[in-house]
Amino acid sequence: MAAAPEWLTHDYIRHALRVHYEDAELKIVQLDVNPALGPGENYGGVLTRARVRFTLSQRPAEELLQNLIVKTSIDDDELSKELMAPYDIYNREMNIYEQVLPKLNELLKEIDEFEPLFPTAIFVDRERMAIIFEDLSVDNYVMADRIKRLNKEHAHLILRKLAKMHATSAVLNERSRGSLEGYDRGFFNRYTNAYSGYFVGGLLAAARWMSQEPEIAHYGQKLFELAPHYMDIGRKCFAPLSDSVNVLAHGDVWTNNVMVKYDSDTGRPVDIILIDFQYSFWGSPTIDLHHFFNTSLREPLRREEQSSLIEFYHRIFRDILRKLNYKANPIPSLHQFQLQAEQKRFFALHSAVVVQPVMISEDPTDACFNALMNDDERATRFKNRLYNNPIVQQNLKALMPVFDRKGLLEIHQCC
Amino acid sequence: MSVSDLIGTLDAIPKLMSSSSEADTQISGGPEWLTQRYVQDALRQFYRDPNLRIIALDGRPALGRGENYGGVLTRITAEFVSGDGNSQIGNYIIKTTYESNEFVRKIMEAYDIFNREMSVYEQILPKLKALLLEIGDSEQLFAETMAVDYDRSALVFDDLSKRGVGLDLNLARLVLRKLAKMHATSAVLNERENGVLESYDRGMFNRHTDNYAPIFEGMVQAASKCVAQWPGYEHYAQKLKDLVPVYMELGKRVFDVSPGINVLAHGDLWTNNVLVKYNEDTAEPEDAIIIDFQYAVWGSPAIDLFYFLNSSLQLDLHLHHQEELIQHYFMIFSDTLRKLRYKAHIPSLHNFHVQLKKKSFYAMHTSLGVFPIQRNVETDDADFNALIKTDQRAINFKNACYRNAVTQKLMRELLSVYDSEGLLDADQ
Repeated sequence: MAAAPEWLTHDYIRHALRVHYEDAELKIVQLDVNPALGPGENYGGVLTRARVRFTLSQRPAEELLQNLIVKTSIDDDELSKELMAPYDIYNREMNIYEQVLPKLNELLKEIDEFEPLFPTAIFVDRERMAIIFEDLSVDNYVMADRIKRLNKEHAHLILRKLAKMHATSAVLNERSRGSLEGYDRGFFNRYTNAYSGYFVGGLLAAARWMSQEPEIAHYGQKLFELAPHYMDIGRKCFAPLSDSVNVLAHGDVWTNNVMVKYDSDTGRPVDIILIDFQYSFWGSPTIDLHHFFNTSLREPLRREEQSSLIEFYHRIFRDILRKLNYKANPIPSLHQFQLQAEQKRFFALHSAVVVQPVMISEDPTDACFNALMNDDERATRFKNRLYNNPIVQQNLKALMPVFDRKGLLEIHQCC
Repeated sequence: MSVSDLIGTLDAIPKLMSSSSEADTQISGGPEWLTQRYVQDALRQFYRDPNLRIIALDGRPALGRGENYGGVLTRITAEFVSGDGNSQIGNYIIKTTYESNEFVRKIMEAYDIFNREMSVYEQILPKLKALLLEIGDSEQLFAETMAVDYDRSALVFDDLSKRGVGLDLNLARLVLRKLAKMHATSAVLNERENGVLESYDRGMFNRHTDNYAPIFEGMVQAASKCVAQWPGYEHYAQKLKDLVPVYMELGKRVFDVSPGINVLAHGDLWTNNVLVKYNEDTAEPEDAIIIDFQYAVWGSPAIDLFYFLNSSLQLDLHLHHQEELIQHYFMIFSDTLRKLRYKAHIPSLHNFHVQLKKKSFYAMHTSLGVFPIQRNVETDDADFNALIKTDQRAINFKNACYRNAVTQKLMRELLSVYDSEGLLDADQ
């Protein structure tokens, strides 16, 4: 596990709490600091758990407990740092936690629809690129199993939160004269192709595997031909649609970016919180749906019930927009929204073929950010191994014909 | 069987007042005014022989009840003597454009189906054929003349009017190949001749008339009543009922000409309008032609694709394989356009799917409103009046359509699918 950053000291945490509680005399009684995640669990940062007992100046006898998660940037090699720089993920996430998410909460409160969608940020440190959150795991929020993936109950909870986040973001943008439209650095953006090592590398690894399987070899061939155009197609997919309701998309909705609370008796999920806003961008809400469905749903839910899951999402999305009197664009009917999902279906291909194999890999060897993003020999071997996974193979054998007949394997599909 | 001639445009021939003589006996199977005297007058005009005299006449309906709501086809065998004393036997198909019923005539007039059909056959189809020949393609897409179209026995083609069966994959692909070439050549023709096909704007739903509204609204009502009796389906029944006031407008939007690629759509493409030639030895389907262009209309290829795919296929294909059939159609469609050097933009397959999806209402309309009519097996009262009227007989007929087990099975499968797609919403 990645070690806690050395600057995460007693004094540092005390300072953060003093700022948050606006209490310059706050005292720490006890502090435990531990790393939080293992390899392959999160490529987006180092998570450290801090458990703090403290007292406030007005009530010095009362010991309070706060559980915190500290999220800091990965201490990568220079090459990776340089690759990642144009995505500006740490700044973006800090901006969103500081400036955007609290306003979304306010909008929900306006219409009596408030429920927590994301964790509360206690402290944002732009110098050290760190965010300190309330640790949800203390309220028994845990991460679900990314290999087993999620069932319909989980999906409904996630979709409800996502619908509320999306709808309120559309309204916020309308009321703030387009303040969210500057979020234009999602995974596919016009500033950089730095993720192509992962995306095109993954696509080619998929193509290499398919070429060895007679029934799907012709799809492999199409993927080889698609590869040089892949990043451009992705960019077009990420472009917001005109005359449509665009939103601040989460950008990376998958199993490990949601925290789930389970009922201790029944074991069923009762609440879900969205985390990790590093790749949020202004665009179609259907992109989040395609990514979520194709990385995180169990079968046959993913293969058979996407349409009704979209219906479920849309009902809430439309409801919130109406309640908040959204006027900037026509609120889509369900049919129009399904149409939009079809227009953005390339991202379903991307999520299923390139992203999901990484998310459900059980192979910890070389599972680190470098292997993902680069294209040296070690990275190539790592990607090849992803497609030895029998679940991945089963999924893609079922899905490639679907993508093919939708025209998503064609070079000029955007025309 | 000799090649038949067509006696058409019967509007031009004045209807005789009946007087009691053998010559005025109604020919069996035909409309009431179709008498021997009438046929004799028609033949005299046709052969320009005022002295022609019928010796013997036999008539029978050409199609069964429920096989063609667009008119009455009567097959006639006539033995006659011409003015110069020669006797011959001729076989004819008489097509009346509608039943001899002022009420029905007035309703169908607004759709102008007979004139359109003639103009398509005489002016358009030959040009489409010429375009295919330009690229060295001599495939036959449609019957050469209307006469041959009607006398199906003149070709060694069988029509596919077997109820409740539906086309298999091979036949479906065959028909779609023809359709693709027809659509592509029509798009090119329209481009080369400066929008000549764009005046075909009176399809089944159009912005000139709502005369067919009682048919479509009546079917949705009947569907709703039927579905309301199924436990757990009440919510669908209510949605169908709520669709009635907006149904015609939603249908018109399908036919409105939208951005993207447009074609001369056939307008009524189902199994009864496809003739298939089977190989004599192997009994395998060898060729197919498309007939009956009464409802040809300029618009989206979706008009034909959704209508065909939701009326004419085996159940499994209907439910699960439409997308790949569209892909098959599109490969030929776009290939033919390219070969003919179509100048305007040819969409990608993905964008074509998106363009079609905008017209998905028509898929729902066909499955839920048209398929039940076509598959109806209680055909005693299967005529145009039963479709268009709102009296008890008409209501009974429509209810009967929904009693069909095949129709019910289809609806049980598709209602939830259409609902999830938002196609049952009044505000879609």
